[in-house]
This record gives sequence, C-alpha cells and structure tokens, in this order.
Amino acid sequence: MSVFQVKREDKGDVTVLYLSGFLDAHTVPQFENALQQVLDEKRYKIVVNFRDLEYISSAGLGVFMGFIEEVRSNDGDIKLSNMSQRVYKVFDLLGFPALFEIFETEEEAIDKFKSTD
Amino acid sequence: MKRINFKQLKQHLVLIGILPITLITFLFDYLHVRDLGYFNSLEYLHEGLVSFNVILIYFYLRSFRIFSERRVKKNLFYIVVNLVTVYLIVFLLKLLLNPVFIITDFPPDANNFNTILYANLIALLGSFSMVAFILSIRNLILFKYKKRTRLYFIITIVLISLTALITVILKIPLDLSFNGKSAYNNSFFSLALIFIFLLSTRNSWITYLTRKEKYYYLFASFFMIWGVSYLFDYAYDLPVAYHSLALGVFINASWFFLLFYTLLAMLNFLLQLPTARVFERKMREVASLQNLSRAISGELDRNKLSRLITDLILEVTASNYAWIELFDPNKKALFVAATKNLSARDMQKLNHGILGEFNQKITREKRPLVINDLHKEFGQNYFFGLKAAVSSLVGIPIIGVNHQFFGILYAAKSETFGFDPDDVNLLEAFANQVAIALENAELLQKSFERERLERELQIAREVQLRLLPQHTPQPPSYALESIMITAYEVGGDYYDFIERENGNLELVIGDVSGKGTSAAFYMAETKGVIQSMAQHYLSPSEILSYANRVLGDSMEKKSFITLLVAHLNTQTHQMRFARAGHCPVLHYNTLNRKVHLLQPPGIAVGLDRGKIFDRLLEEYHLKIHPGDVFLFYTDGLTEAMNKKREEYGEERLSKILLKYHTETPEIISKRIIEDVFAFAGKGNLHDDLTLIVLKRHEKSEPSKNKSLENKQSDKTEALNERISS
Repeated sequence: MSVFQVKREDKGDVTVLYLSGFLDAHTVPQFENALQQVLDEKRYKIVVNFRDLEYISSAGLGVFMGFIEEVRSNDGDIKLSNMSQRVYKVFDLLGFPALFEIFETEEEAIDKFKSTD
Repeated sequence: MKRINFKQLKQHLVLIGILPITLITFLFDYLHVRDLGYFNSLEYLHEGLVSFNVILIYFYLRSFRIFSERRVKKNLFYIVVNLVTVYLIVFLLKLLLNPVFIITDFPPDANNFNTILYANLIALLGSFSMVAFILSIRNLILFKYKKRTRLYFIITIVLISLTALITVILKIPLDLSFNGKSAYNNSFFSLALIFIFLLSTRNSWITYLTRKEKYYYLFASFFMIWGVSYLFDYAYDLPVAYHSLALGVFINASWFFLLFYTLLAMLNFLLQLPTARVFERKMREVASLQNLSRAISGELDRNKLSRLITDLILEVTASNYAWIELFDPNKKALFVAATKNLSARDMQKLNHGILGEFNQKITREKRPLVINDLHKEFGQNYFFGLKAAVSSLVGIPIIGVNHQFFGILYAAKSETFGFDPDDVNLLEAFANQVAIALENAELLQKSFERERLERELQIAREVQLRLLPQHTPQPPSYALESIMITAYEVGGDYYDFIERENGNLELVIGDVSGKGTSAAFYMAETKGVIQSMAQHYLSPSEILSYANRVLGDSMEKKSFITLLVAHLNTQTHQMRFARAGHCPVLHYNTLNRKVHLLQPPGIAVGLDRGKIFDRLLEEYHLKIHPGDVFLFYTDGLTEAMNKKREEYGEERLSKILLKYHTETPEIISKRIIEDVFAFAGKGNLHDDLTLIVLKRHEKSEPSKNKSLENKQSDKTEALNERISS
C-alpha cells in the first residue's frame, strides 16, 4: 500500500488539501484530522486536490459527508478537483457530483470561490 | 467426637501406666532391694522400669497440644515456665522433706523415708520436666527443618541409651573423666554431647526476630543461663543418681541439651544484634516488594497503583514525603499521580512544574537523582514554594522493559543525607515494579480493547449473515443464484429477496458504509424498511425514496448506504429497477447478443435527506427476453484488486458473462468467482463480495448453446458499450 498523505497549502482565503496514496478506512482518520485542523482555524473555503490519489473507498467518501454540513453552514464549501478516472467513477456511482462541485483543475475551483464572493 | 475420645482414652491409659511403675520403683527404693545383693537382676529390672517410665512420659506429654506448638514465643514461654516450676517444687520439697544423702560411695544412698520419698518425687519431676524441655526445644529446632535433624536426634538417643546401659552396669559417675572403666560410658556420653551440641546450633528462629525482640531475649537469656546451669546441681544430681542411674544419664544429657541450647541461643542473640537493624530492614524490603508485586499484579488503575506505591515508600524508606509523577503521552508532560504527606497546594505546585529542573535532568539522564542537602546545593529558597520541609530528596525514573519512560518516583526526607545507597537501590527496585505494572496495565487494556473490537466484529458478522435470505427463490421460468463471500473485516454487503404469491419477486442488493456494529445496525434497519414498504406494492423508486427518508434521519452524517431495488414481473417479463448509488446492473441481451451496463441515475441513501435524492432518482423499465441474464453485485466484486493494484472492473465481468451466458446462473456465478479469485488471489479480498445472477429460461429449456464459438467474435465489440437512458 502506498502511504496516504495530506499536504496543505493556503492560497489566500482558500485552503487546498493535496491527497496522495490510498484513502480507505485505515487512513481516513488522517484525512479527518487534517480537515478538522483547517476548520479549527475557521477556514471554510476548501479545495481538495485529488491529483495523486490512487484509490478511495466508501469510508473515504464519508469524510466529505461528515464535514460538508459544518462548512456550508459557515458560508464555505468543499470543492473537489483533479480527479483521476478511477476516483471519479467512485464519486459518480454514489451520486456525489450532485452534491459536490467537481472541477478539472484546482484553479477552476479557486476561481469559483472568488466569483461567488 | 469419637476420635477425640479415643485419643483421650489413650492418654489416660498411658498415665495409668506411669503411676504404678512410679509406685513400684518407689517400693524398690523403700525396700532396699538393691542391698539384697544376691538379687542383682532385680536392680536391672528397676532401671528398666524407670527407663520405660521415661518413654511413657514422653508419649504422654507428646499427646498434649502445647507440645506440638510451632510458634517460637510460645515455646520459649513454656521453657521458662518449666524451669521456674521445677525450682519452686524442688525448693518446697527440700523444705518439707529435708533430705539427707550418703555420698561416701557411688551411687549415693539414702536411709530415711523422707529422703527416699524426696528422691522418688524428684525423679518423677525430672522425668516430666526434662521430657517437656526436649519437646519444646525440638519445636524450636523444627522452626526451620534441616536435612539431618532427625538423624541427629536418633543418634543422640542411641548414644545416650548406650551410655545409660554401661553406667548402670559399671556404676560409674558421668564426670567426663576417662580413667580406667569410666572411659567406657564417658566416651559414649561425650559423643552424645557432640550431637547434642550440633542440635543446639539449630536456632534459626532467632534470625527472624525483630531487633527489639533480640535485645529483650538476650537480656532474658542471661537469667536463663544462670537458672539452667544451677538446675542440675540444685535439683537432680544426688536424688536422681540415687533413684536410678539410667534416669540420671537421661536427665544429665537433657540438662546438657538445655544448657547448650540456651548458651548457643544467647551467643546467637549477641552475634546478631549488630546486623539486626540491617536484617530487619532487608526483611521489610523483601516483604514490601512482595506486597507490592502482589498488590499491583491485578491493579489496572494507574492512580490506585501510584497511591499504593507511595504508601510503601514511606513505610520502607522511612521517608517523610513521597510522590509519583507519571508521563502523559498525549500532553507530553508529567502529572502528579499520587502524593503522600503533601498538601493539596504543594501537589498543585508540583503539577505546575516547581521541580521542572529535576524532572528534566532525570528524564534526560534516565538515572536516579540523589540530593543530600537541598539547602546547601540549591540555596535556602529552592523549596520556598512548598510547605513541606524537604531537605534531602531522591528521584527515580520509571522505565519500562523497552526503555519506555513512564514517569518519576520521588521520595523526600526532612533531614539532610536521608538516603543511603541502599535506599536508592530499593527505590529503583520499586520503580522497576511500577514500570512492570504500568506496562502490564497498558498491555491488558490494549488486549481488552482488541478483544472487544473482535467480539463486536463477530457480532456484526453474525447479524449480517442472519439478515441474509435463508434460501434463494426460483420464480417461474427464471433461475436465480446468489453468492456472498465475506472478507476478514465486516464489509457491510446486504441482499434480500421478497417473494410474491403471484410469483413476482423483489430483489434488493446494497452496501452499508462503515464497519462493525453500526453497519450491522443500519443493515437491519434497511431490511425492515424495505420489507415493510414492499408489502404496499410500491415501485422500486418509491421504496428507495421512502427508505432514504426513514434511514437518513437515523444515520450518522458520514455513513451512507448504496441500494438497488428491482421488481421482477414473471408474467409480463418486465423488470423495473432503481439504483441509489449502488453498482450498475450488467444485462446480457439475447436480442443483440451484447452485454449492457445499466446505471440509472440516483445517489446513495443518507447523502441527502430528500429533495435532491428524489429529483435524481430514476427508474428503468426493461423487457426480459428468454435467455437474458442479469448480474447484480457489490463493489467488492468490481473493486477486487490484484498485486498491481488494478481493479477487476466491469469489463472483465462483462467478458465472463458473454462467454458463459448460455450456462445456468449457478455455473455463471461459479465462473465469475473463479475469475475474480484468479485475478486478485483468493486471500486478497479486502471487502465483502456479493453476486446475484438472474436468468430467464430459454424457450427450449436451458441447454448448452451449440454455436458458442462463432458467436464470440461479434460479441466482444459490445464490451464497453453503455446504454443510454
């Protein structure tokens, strides 16, 4: 198993999280901690960049559901970008595109935040 | 009760034996039998009877409970009482009877009644008293049983018997001289005395007395020596020798035993006094370590454990204060777990790191820290914060087997130079015990946790399996096969069939996100909701919509359920199905001989509580032709991964379906599972895998297709085709 990693970069008032490796039941807590930390800093504009994520399980998807309510109630959002075909398929199957905005590139996602401000 | 009576009876019988013999031997003396001269054998009889009497007395006394007493102090008490009683009785008898012995010859003689009576009474008293002494001393010796004790006793008895025999025959006093004939009995007697001496060295009970007791007993033993050494001459010498030489030998020997034993005991008291303090301390250490390990072996609570240890530290090292600071791995800081004799405010100050400097040093060096004079080394004000008067202090790191740092154990005294190296060693031993206990507690906690989780998983698994249908229905003109392969961890797969009286069928397949009991719980709830909704002949999309509303309310935010509900009408051969985020359905269509991936829109149950879910949900309606095959499955199948981390995927699945669509569902499912295992490796499933195969019988009952081979080529191009809704 390739190690799961979350890297964080703050771009203005948007926080970008870069995921890599395998996001499954075992690595979910790592991702949750990273998200929680961002929320603790009262930053609610979040882009998750999936560029290097190889695999996501249903538990991984659950993380987004777990946080989205709090983020949106604070006038923020979690936007997703740079998904591989394989990862997108999982999101698509479950119907996530109806609930989350998914972008081709990180820049598009950030621009969307700016345009709605 | 009967047994006790029997024992008492025996006791009385022995006593009945003792009295007449005493009387007979008295008569021998009174009638001056031994002076008759020509009847020498009568004298031997007399000696024999007296000796036998001693043996009877031994058995008589032994039957009393006080002579099987093993407690040291009781036995010492009996010896003193015995000695004092003998002195008193002899004094009174002398006063009353005023005996006069003729000592011109050996053995001494007597010629008035009072003296003879006196001699006999003294002999009887001596027999009792000496046997009692021996029994008491024997009990003391047996305080610590050693290998040859018994042997020495036997040898001594044999030697004394021989001495007695020779003395009786030769009529020579036991004066330990070796002139002429006296060499015979005296040499045996000397040998006996050597063994008596050896037995007398066995006084290990002294070692275990407290220091105070040792002082006390040493003082008492001076008086004992005086009393014992004077005893023989004062009480027994002449009267017993007159009465019976054999008894004389016995009393003489036992007196030596008593004397030696008292002397050696006194010597031992004296020798052990200087080390008494150290010994006592070692004893206390051993006892406290033993207490500690016993107490902590079952103790899981760190705070209770710490309190226990601080108590023991005070007790054993005579410290004025003791406290334990434990390391909290979450906060990465030490906290005070227990204190002894420190006020709450002092404890608070410790918690705020008043000893931070010491803590750091001990943590860094992982060695004990000893400060003999705090005021001198750190100035008067170092402990200004504490109310406690601390002058010397020891801090010991608590380190586990794997060098894990658990905390620090502190002991402090109000005097300077309060801790010697011994104290530090002891405290280190304590710290080791604490480390072991803490490690044990941690391991136990972990294994409890693991066991709990495993049990939970097992329960969840059992619930999951019980929720599955017990048999697979076979609706008219269709064949159905279902298979579930569970992974090591509970995956959350679920499927169900609801049969109708008219032969119609509801087919449900789903996957609950999350694991363990919560997954099993959602599964049970799902089954209940769908079963009850299906009773109302609702359509698949209505069932799913309702299920989403009911289940969504009770579900955790981050969990969701993928579901697919299909309704099969076996009369019209119509299938209606809707999908809530679940894997698509694969359909082999006999009309175009292609495999279609059917994926009607729909999001998983629990992602949205109503509007979006309902808006997105769509239902497909299909006509089923003879020979059509449907595959329903969970992501455990298509996401089964090989070593290169490739997923099995729908394409491989379609290929197998295309290849084996003419077979029965049983064969088809078998082939699919074989292929998945061949792809991923049998042991490598990380999720549950469920597969349901539904097939409508071909017009001419299910039989092998004749021209499977030539059809293969034109089917392959349909592999990746998706149906457009």
